Amino acid sequence: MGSTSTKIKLRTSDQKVFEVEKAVAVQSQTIKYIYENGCPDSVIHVHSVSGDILSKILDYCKKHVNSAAGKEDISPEELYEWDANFVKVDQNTLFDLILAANCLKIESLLDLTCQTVANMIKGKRPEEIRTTFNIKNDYTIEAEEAVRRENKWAFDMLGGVGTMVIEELADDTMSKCVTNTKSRVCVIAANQIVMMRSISKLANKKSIDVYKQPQNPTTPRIKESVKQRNVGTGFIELFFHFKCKM
Amino acid sequence: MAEQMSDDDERQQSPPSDLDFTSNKARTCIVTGSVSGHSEFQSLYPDQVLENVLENVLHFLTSRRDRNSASLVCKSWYRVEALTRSELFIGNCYAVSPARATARFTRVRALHLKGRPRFADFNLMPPDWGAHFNPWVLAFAKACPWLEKVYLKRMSVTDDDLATLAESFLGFKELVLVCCDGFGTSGLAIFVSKCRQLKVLDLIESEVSDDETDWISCFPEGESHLESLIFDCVECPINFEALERLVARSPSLKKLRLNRYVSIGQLYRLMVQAPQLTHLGTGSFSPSEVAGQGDQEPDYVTAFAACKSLVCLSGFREIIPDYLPAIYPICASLTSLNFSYANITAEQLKPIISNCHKLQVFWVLDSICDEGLQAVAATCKELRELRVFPVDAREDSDGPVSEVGFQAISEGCRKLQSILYFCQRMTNAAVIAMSRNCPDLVVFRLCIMGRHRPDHVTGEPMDDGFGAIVMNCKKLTRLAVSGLLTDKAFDYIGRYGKLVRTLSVAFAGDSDMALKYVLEGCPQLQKLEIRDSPFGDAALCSGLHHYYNMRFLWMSSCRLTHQGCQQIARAMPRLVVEVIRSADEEEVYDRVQTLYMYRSLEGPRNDAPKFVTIL
Repeated sequence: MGSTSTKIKLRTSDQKVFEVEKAVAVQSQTIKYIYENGCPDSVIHVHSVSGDILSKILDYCKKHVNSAAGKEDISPEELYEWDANFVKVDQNTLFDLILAANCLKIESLLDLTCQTVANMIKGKRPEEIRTTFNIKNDYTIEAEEAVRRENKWAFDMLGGVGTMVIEELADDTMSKCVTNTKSRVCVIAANQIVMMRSISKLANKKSIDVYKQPQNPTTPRIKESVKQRNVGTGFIELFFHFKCKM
Repeated sequence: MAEQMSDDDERQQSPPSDLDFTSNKARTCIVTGSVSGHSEFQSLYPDQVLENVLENVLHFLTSRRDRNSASLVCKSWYRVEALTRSELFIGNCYAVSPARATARFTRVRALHLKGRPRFADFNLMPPDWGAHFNPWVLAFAKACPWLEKVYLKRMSVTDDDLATLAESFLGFKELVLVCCDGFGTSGLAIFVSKCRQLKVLDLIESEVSDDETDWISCFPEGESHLESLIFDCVECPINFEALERLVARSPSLKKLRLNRYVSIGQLYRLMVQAPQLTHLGTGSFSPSEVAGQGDQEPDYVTAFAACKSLVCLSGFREIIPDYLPAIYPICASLTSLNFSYANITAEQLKPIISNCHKLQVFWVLDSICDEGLQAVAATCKELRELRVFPVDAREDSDGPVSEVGFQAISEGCRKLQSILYFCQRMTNAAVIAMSRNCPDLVVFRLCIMGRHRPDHVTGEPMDDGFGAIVMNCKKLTRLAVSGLLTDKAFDYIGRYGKLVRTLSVAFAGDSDMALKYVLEGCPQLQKLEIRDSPFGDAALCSGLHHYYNMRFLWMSSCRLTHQGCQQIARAMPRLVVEVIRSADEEEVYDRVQTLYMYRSLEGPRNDAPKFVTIL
């Protein structure tokens, strides 16, 4: 890190200027390209990255350059841990890092940040994912069930923690299913009316729910009852009785 | 908060080396004009930011469960998940059409397809029932040119299909055919000659017709990318010189399984060319007839010793046991040994098995008797999977293995996860012992040959033994039952077999109650195959709540009637209910010979043969 090493100047969207060693800056393929094809002395404007984010990114690049060059005595395991701590930031910062890594074309950082987000998705049910990332569910109930059915029947994608769907029941039908206590249950009667009513109280588990039907004045009244019976080892038997009156 | 984009005045001041690229949405982002593809975004709300990089993120989701959840988050996630799915698994080729699959998933690299039900292997179904690969290969040829790998199980593949495969997918790398049929050596010849990037060609337990074509010579000249070549099921001679040259020019070859037309002398020549092999199928393991009496025998022991990476050994299709000592040098490193074609005695086995300390998978014939199994139990402490096949599969033959060997295994191999055991006699005590000694069992398949055989010591039904298995083996997902079984056994299964996904039943049960217990008690049941058991329409109706959760139900030679099956078909419109009769039988009787039903998104198939009626 002597005075003979080349430095590159970077200006961010909020007018902060960073003077960075070339070896560190060219971890970004974008900056590398600009530097090699433009005037080496001028300032490179990094329009879409703020000072705070660029600062973090440069920390990352510096750490990785130094460890690769042997300038820093850090084992692969320690570097891995350093990376893990690097991404322990709030969600907004994480997304900013992804966007910046994408624009600046820093592949290892893009992989690291995207993997982190993927880890936030793993093991979660769809509604949990929506909550985590504040995403609006734009599926209709029928569309969502169609996807669920296609996933399970065709492509063997098992539902989240056991999704039980009882479909196509005729009026005045007694039906039952056995489900584990973490299941979700969705019931669709033969005349396409979606069963409603939360049975979570009965089932004593908050993760069992039944979809609510949208308000519709022409909807026939539905009388239904749901009973449950404990069959042991975490499984319950649910009895549904439908009666539809037109 | 997320970064702000630059304004226009910023651009006016910028010197030439600025990174500058105006999108038509008046936002600026840095783009170098390469394949990033995420150059524009209009707003900065977290969920939309996420959407821009969603493709990158979803590449890191590999499990089917996570992909399922992602596709259900919202419509744009559904789209991106479909774009990023690279491996497509379809457990029943008739549950979905090729058109629907290719419409949703356009960038698939690997396709897994399963066709016929397993009981079709036992001649319980006439040939030409269906499961044709043809519509699939045509649909994928049009829609997914990046397809690289195809894995088929129990499907019919024609020579034309193989040609289409090779011609339509330029980068095609891997073909694995398990229990398939419909093609021959001429199809193979076209396939290998056109697939220049081929890495894997695995033909496993498939029927390959002999068109007298020398397909081995059709591999292109020059260095080959082959990593795996498995053809031990091909029942026709091959051009050995061409094979030898092929192996010599395949430096990446790791897996090679030869058919029985390769003699042990020829095996030697191949092993010398390829000491880097990890998986070897030895072919016949006997000399060819032309070997003269006074010929110098090659040094087989040295050849095996030179294969320092060998971990998986199979073949021995026409074994001369005198040659067995050749494999001594590699026994200590073997993790998988398949002797299921080798009719050897306990005495011949012992010197081998006593060195196989690392063995995890062992397939063998019952010719080794209980004594041989005791030797296995004494040494193979790491054993995870054991399969004992019968030399003589008839009902009344003498059984060389019994509960003695079974119990010895349970006591010696505590880490056992999967067992398939054919025998003529068994006791509840031995099965109960295994349920206690081997709590990690995931697959338990016990085949007491001979119908309705009770515990041969106590004369009792085998209910308690299988009951203990479902009670004590908490990880059990696959179960095959046999012997004399009353409804009580099925009561146990329904009560304790909560994780069971696959159940095979033959000649068992007393009444409809047995089937009811299972259908009402096993919520994870996916595949149920039953033959020759006294279950009728009432039992069938008790599963109405569950059939949409199952992949299929097979019932043959039970007590079902057409009316009963009609009832099911009417109550469950999305179930395809196939009534299959034997090819020559007329459709007169009300009794249903075979019922095969499965959920499907597509309704009845249009390629059903005459002996299949879809209700």
